[in-house]
Amino acid sequence: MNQKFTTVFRIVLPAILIGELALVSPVSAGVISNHSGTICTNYNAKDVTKIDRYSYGTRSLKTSATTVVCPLTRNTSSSYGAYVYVDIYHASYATTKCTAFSYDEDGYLLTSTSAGWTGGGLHEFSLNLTGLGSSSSFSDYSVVCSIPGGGAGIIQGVDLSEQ
Amino acid sequence: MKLSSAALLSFTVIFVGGLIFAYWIDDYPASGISSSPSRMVTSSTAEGKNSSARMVDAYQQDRVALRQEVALLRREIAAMQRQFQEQRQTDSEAAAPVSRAEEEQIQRERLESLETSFRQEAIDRQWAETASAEIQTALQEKGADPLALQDMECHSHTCRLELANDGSGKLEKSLPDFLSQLSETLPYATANSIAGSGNLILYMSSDSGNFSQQGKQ
Repeated sequence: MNQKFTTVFRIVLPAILIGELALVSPVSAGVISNHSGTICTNYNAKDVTKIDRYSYGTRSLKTSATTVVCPLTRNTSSSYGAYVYVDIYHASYATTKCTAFSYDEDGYLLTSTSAGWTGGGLHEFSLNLTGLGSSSSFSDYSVVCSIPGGGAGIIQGVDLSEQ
Repeated sequence: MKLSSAALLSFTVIFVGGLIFAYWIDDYPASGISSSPSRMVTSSTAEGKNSSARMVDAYQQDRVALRQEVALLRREIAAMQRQFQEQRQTDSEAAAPVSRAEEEQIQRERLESLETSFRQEAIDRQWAETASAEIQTALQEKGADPLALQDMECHSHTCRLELANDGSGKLEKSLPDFLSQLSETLPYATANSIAGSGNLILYMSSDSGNFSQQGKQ
């Protein structure tokens, strides 16, 4: 009984310790705010009737690529910026381009990063807005994306990881 | 989604307590073992005695090994606790509210650092010409109402642009499109609004390191 306990103890103990180590990493990661793609809306007034939504995302029914803007909610007042992750679905081979912005409370641009993806299916790409001074206590983040027209692209999520 | 450091620390403390308790339970029957061979002596042969002695020796060795193992694990847990404490301290420092004055100072230093880095950047004539041409093309894409470029200078991976701002909101509205058009050549941008004139100084770079390293902690 005692030896059995010892054996189990020897196996379980390192497993628990490894588990604890695995738990340490999310703590040091950023503060994450997930946003549904449904938050994205038309960037230009003329496209207001072309935007269509699913319960999980936004698409454009315009015949050409359409620019949408997605406001992001912050959960910190960090000055170290953030990573932005865009989840996009392409029904067929197409291109989505996004630019993430950080604006101070007066509406002045602090920093921006652009990235995109060309292909078919579901994909996630990241935009790096990190670095001291890339955000401030009252600054805001937003993402402007050009998505394929004809309903061929759906923005499914825009996630923010504040550093 | 995020687990707090405090929760993890509590978990570790509980776990260490459990470890000590488990070790105590493991150690407790040792006295029982010492009495067990004596019972065997009364009812066994000499061979039986030797066998029991070997068992006791093996058990004692096992105990020593286990004790060493537990000591090692205790040290590892203590090191992890120190790491947690350091991480918590770092987190709380990072999350500490920064005053408005400090934030303005951070921005001033950041923009000075950007300008200094740009001035120190080597000039690659070929890259500069290509980047300048792409910027001009992106500006012209706005058709009859292009952004008013006051000044442009490109080095080896960064361009510095000064764009006029007439206060109509045209610059702010057109900027995302303009930046998006240059997303492959110059994906990273940092801006400095010139006090008074309202003009916008835009540092656009092909290299994220140029901007993310500015004033990094």
